Amino acid sequence: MTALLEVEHLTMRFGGLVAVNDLSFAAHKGHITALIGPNGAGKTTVFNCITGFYKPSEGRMALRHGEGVTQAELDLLTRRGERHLKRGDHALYLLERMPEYLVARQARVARTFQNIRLFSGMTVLENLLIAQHNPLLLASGMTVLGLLGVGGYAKAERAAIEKAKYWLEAINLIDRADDPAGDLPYGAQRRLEIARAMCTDPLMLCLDEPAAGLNPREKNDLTDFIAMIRKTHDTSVLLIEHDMSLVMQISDHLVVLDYGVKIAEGTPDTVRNDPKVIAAYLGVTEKQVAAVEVGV
Amino acid sequence: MADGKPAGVNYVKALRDAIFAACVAFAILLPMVGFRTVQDMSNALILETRFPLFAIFVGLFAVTAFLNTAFFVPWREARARQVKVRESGKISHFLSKYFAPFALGFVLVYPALALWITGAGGSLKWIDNFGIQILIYVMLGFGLNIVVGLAGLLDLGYVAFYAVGAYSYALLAKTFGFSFYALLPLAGILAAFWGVLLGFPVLRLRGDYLAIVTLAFGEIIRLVLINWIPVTNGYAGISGVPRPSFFGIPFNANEDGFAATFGLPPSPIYRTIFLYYLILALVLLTAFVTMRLRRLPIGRAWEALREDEIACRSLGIDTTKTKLTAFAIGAMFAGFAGSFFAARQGFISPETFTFMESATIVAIVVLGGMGSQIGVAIAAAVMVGGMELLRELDFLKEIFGRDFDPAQYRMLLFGFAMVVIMIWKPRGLVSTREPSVFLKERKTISRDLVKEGHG
Repeated sequence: MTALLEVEHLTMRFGGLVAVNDLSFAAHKGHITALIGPNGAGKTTVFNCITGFYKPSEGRMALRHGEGVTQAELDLLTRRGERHLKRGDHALYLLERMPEYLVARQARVARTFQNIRLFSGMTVLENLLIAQHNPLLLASGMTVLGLLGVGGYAKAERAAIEKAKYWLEAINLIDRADDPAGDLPYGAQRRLEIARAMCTDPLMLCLDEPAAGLNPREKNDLTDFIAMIRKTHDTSVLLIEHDMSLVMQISDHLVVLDYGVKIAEGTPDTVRNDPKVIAAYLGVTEKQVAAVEVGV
Repeated sequence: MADGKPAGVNYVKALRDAIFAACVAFAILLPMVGFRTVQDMSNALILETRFPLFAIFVGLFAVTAFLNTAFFVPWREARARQVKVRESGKISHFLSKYFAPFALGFVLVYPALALWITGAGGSLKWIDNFGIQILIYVMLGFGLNIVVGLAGLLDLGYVAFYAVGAYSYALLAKTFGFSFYALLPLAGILAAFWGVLLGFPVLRLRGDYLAIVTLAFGEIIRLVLINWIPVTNGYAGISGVPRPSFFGIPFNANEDGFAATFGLPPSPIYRTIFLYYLILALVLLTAFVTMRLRRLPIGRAWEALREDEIACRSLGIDTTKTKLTAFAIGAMFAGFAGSFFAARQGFISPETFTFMESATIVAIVVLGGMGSQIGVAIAAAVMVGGMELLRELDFLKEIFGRDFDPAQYRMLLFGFAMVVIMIWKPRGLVSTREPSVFLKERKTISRDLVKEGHG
């Protein structure tokens, strides 16, 4: 099985600082892949590279729609310096070559932010409609037809509201649809941000610390919500999270970063018992790490 | 005061404030009001003192400060304690439900009202200086509202597009003889083109930097108009700009003129009334288009851009194009207003398109409440109409002496009024936001949550 997202030799330098160093991993379709590591390990930098907010210094990030594109074609595309290849339902995108809005629109990678970025002065419903901007803009005839009141914009907007309603019900906020997003409690804002990202119909959803600041009950709801997204939608999840119990519970695959370098990768069980991971999290000295490595 | 009992009037504190205010007024106004330079018969400059007037001014400040501290501040605090919870949407609801239809009706019958009250001769001033002038600024305010109020991009050079529209019409109409109705859209398109042209270099700028570059752009356009003499005729401006006709019938005293055609006595009032309704139609068109745009994806994207640009990009919105459309459409309305202005005035010169104009339009949008059309319309009426009304302050001569010229103090009063409004309503007259779409109930959104945009 080929991976949905294949990150190869990703390096991101900020001046002299190497935030991410030669990172390679794969995220598979239908999986929840978690990116974990201590503070400052470079997790969010990886996210920003994948979603196009940063242009990586080196490396390739290939995102596949369907499995119809071969490795040879990927290499050819890379050499040619092109951004993407589309053949029917199958497509291949080189994310490092795309600006962030095209990563979201064409490659269909949606994301949330560590510090919530909702449109706080707009209603909950408006937030979800803005996420459907591109199809709606098309339906409004690039504004011209919509302005004149011809074409199917009204119908498209009704459909968009239906979709928003579906997600509002999923996150239990249907009663607050007409309230400003900034008025919602913190936990609800987190859920709304995820729902907003889902309204873009992503194939890959990148969640940056979705459980940060949530109480145990809200964390449970969040776990269920992420599980529901994976089960009922064609969306794979890439997750940054510090809450280990949540990560271990829902992830299929873990990638552990420390100082921008991948130190471990695998299923929750293998990673949990990896001495390097334990060392990184508990903060032992180099000597002890070396001793453990010799022992292994 | 914490126990909620009304405290007695604190005269000592009020007196102290009054003395302080008098001192400040003394220091500031002594050189400004106390002395004046005048030219005598032989053109020599002599210094004249105006101490009685100066004393009245200082006294006014002292009394105002005294009244403020002694009565107004305690009254306001008492009221704030009483009314803890205030419906934030009340005013906006009232405005949209009752005030807007009333205002619309009023502007529709305004020329008739002016004619009826002041007669054909007197109404000219009221329709032209007040009606048309205010409506031009309402239109400019609506246009800038798209850029500043909705998209959150602070544009201090908006008058440049107004100038582009005016000069486009004046030059094309004089050179090629095209009619006003053909050139109106063209002037709008040209202004929109310049809007995009300005948009490109400033796309990456935000906040203060954006404001400075747009300010510079406004000045560049003005300087080009001054110095490109072969085309624009420099400071002298362009005179004899063709006036709009009544759909082909010119407004003149000839036999094929408007008055003769309809069998009316010749009078300049017909043209003025026609121009009034023309600009009113343009204003309503602008308002209608803006209202529709707000409910379309592009309008929502503008507001989202004001709220959080990074979140917009993460949702696949091309912020470059979104900003450019905001600049272009805002500039287009300024272009319409500009060509109307040139056609109404018959004469344009770079003097009209100074930074002061941009500042006035920005002030209208900010005072009105960013994003609110009713607020902008009221603010335009108050600011422009108020400035005109201040010309009529002859009764002040009774107070300050016969050689006192009230018109000279317009800017002072104007600045004072702005300070008062900004203290009273820091987020503008209409400080709530109407959502563009709703599921069950349209609730207005408090301005505290709405961001102002960072450019």
